[in-house]
Amino acid sequence: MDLSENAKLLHSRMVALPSSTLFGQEDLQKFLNTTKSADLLEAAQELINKKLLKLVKQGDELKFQATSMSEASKITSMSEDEAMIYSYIEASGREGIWTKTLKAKTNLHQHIVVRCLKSLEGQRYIKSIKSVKHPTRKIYMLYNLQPSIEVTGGPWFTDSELDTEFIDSLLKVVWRFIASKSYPTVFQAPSPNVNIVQASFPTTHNGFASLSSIVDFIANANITTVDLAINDVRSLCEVLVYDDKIEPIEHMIDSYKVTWSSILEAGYGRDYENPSNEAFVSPKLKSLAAPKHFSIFDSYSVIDSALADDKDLVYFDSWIYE
Amino acid sequence: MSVEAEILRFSKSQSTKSNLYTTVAKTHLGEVAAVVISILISYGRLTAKDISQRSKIQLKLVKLTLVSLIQLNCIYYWHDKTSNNVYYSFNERGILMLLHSGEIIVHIKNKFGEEAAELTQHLIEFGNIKIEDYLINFKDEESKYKRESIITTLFTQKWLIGVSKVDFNPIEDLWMTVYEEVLRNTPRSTTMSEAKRIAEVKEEAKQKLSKLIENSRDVKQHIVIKDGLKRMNPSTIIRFNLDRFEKHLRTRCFVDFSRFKIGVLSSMVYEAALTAIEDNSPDMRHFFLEVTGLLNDPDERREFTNSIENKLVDDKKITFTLKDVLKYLPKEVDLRNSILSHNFLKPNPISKKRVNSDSEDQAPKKIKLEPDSEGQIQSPEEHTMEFEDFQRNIDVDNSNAQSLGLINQHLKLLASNSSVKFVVETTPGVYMVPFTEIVKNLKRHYYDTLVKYTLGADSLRVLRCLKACKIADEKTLANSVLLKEKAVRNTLFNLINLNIIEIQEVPRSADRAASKTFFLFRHKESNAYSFLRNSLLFSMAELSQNIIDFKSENKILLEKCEREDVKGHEDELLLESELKLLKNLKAREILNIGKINRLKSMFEVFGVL
Repeated sequence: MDLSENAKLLHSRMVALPSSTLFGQEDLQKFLNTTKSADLLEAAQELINKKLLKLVKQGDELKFQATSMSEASKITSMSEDEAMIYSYIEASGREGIWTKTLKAKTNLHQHIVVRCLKSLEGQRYIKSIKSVKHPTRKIYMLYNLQPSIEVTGGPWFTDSELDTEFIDSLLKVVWRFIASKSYPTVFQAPSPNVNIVQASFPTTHNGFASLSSIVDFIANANITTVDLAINDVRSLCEVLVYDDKIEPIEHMIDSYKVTWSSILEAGYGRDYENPSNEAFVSPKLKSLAAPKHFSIFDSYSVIDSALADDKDLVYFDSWIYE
Repeated sequence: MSVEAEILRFSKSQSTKSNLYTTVAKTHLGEVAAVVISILISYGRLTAKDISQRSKIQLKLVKLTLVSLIQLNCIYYWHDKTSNNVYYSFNERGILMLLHSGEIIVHIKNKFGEEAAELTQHLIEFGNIKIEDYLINFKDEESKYKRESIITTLFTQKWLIGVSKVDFNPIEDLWMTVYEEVLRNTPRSTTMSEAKRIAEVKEEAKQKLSKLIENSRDVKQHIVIKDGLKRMNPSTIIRFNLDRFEKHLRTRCFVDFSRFKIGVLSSMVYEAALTAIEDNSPDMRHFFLEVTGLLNDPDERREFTNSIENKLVDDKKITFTLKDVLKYLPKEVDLRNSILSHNFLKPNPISKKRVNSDSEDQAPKKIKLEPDSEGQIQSPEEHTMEFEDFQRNIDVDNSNAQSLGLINQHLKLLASNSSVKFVVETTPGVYMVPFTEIVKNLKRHYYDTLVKYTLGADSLRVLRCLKACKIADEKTLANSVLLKEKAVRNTLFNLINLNIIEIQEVPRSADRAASKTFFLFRHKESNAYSFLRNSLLFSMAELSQNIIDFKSENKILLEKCEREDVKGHEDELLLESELKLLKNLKAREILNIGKINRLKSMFEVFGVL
């Protein structure tokens, strides 16, 4: 690119610093070693014409920002409308910009905006993204940028859809990890050293799963490629609390243990009922431990779903439909 | 349709309680009794003449029915001195007794044996019996003596109570009489405001009523000491104490709850503890709470129930020690190795040595976890646990299956649960049971479990999230429960449909335009529970009605079986198809009764406790 000496010097000094740096007039004068504003004006105007310098307004002050050669050649290759649209998209950063806002800001006709966007997209300067907050809006951002968390919705979203399968499998893994810390022998085969009917930690035990240990576990076990922050894991734990699968431990911040009911529901903790484990439990104790009457908490072992054609069937909510 | 049938049909739409009670009365006591009960539920209180007029049943028959219903504690009577009329009103305790009768008899049989069960059955059948009238049926002295001692045992454990005149009178009328009497005797004076006078009168009347009722409950007047032996006064009239059975139901619910929250062995320890204090545990009902206008404010009511419980704790009536638990713990219960402390000192050989020297029969055990069901996902901790050993707790004596140390550890587990405190340690080694608090938590958990099993896990998640937020809109809920908004909306619809949650409308424009309004949701326990209670009552009545219906459909066959010449010779005199039908009917009846009992066990939590 043909540039005067001064302009070249000024540009090379500006790009040497990080690209986002904003310069004031004094800084530029220092770069050129001149006190005359006319010299600066000439060089700066030349750079602006060639799209190598941008004017940025910060507060009430006018600042300058350098653009790299490749970026400048990109912009110079665009039409004027395209360049204007590109500059707005660039300014929107990682949030992206809605086509309607773009139209309003540029004051261009819909057709022109659409045409420009198409051509920019075709050259892979920009890309269209989906926002979780506004799923119906068409939003554009620079091709090389990653959408922000507000746009993608955080780790729980895949292609702007809530990834419930991912969440469910994570919930299972986290529950199992907490369970292994909550009851000493819950996932083990019965042994003579452990009471088969119930084996609990004493109340003085303090080795329960804490939030940070869960975060470490998820990070070390290579479960997911998605980075989970401590708050994401906390919301997972909260969901488990809502499911009544785990409960926070009193007097210990961010520590959890699984509820015994969730262990029973997962099919553990009932080894003493298994006929193959008779060696570990006396028959008298076994009969004593067997449920003697109906209890809602045990109902998953009693309810018979094959009663649908029963003539005497009464639905639980029959009262409201009476 | 006859007037009777019409009245019974109306009782269905009147209220769920009226529906169930009339159905139960119809199955157990017959149609006339059901009609009388239905009429009394709808009109409150009536004279015999009124009942006869409204039901178009002859006065004589009404009077006969009333006598037996009073005898069965299904009806109160009140003799109004001013008008000289006798008014009758409904007493649900009698019907509830019939509803619980099967379970009562089974429980008494398991606890006190066959003869006690027989006595209980007679008491439920006849309502009230004078002891000497009952004993007259036994000719030989030995069995007479045996029965008497059974009565004494049941009586001292409060399963039976002596009946007095006030038991047949409605509490409201008793209260009004006492209150008016005290009011008459308290003169107006210039130094005291009317409000203060009323308050004082109320307080004095309360004391007087308590005294009146307590005197009638006094055990001493029914027990005589003869030849150094405690014996029942033969002229005492006894009845089965439903309140005492309800206490047992409460124990049962608590034990189930602890079994589900803590574990089987801890629940057995808890059962022993609860049995130890069951006799003295606070009553579920109190006559102060039943008189309208006596305790209006919910806070006042709560304070009153708490004060009863606190008094029992202060009097050491509902506190227990480890030895009390040991006394009631079944001998088969083996608590050894049920409390394991985790030793994380694996890499440190010094501490390991210390552990080994401290406990005698220490057998360091290698733990190998089963392969993780998530496949390759295994925590690093789970790997290292292979090398960890479990150390038996040093403070606990593991050599004895029921050592006090182990019992104490289990009680501590019960006391330290973060969501429910099953027991509270008042002083070291002495525990108490916070009944009111547990009942509150039990209801919550019961309700949650019910929601989970009937509406699915998503509904439970949304409901519990809503409870944690107190009040929330759809978006907040969807964000916190990590479910798709559509799924949350569907769930909310189901929850609203069953009155589990309520909607609060928040208008955003002055004209309250529906398009701009947004909606918040909240869960209100009292409304949700009362809806559930009604559903349970209604379903129970429906099931009872099923039995009545299919029995009447097959009336001819059933009547044939009842005939004297057929009884005992069914195999010879009935066709094969009839026998098959009979068998099916029996199976259907049992199935329906089973279902009623399940619903009843839920009703116990929401209606009795």
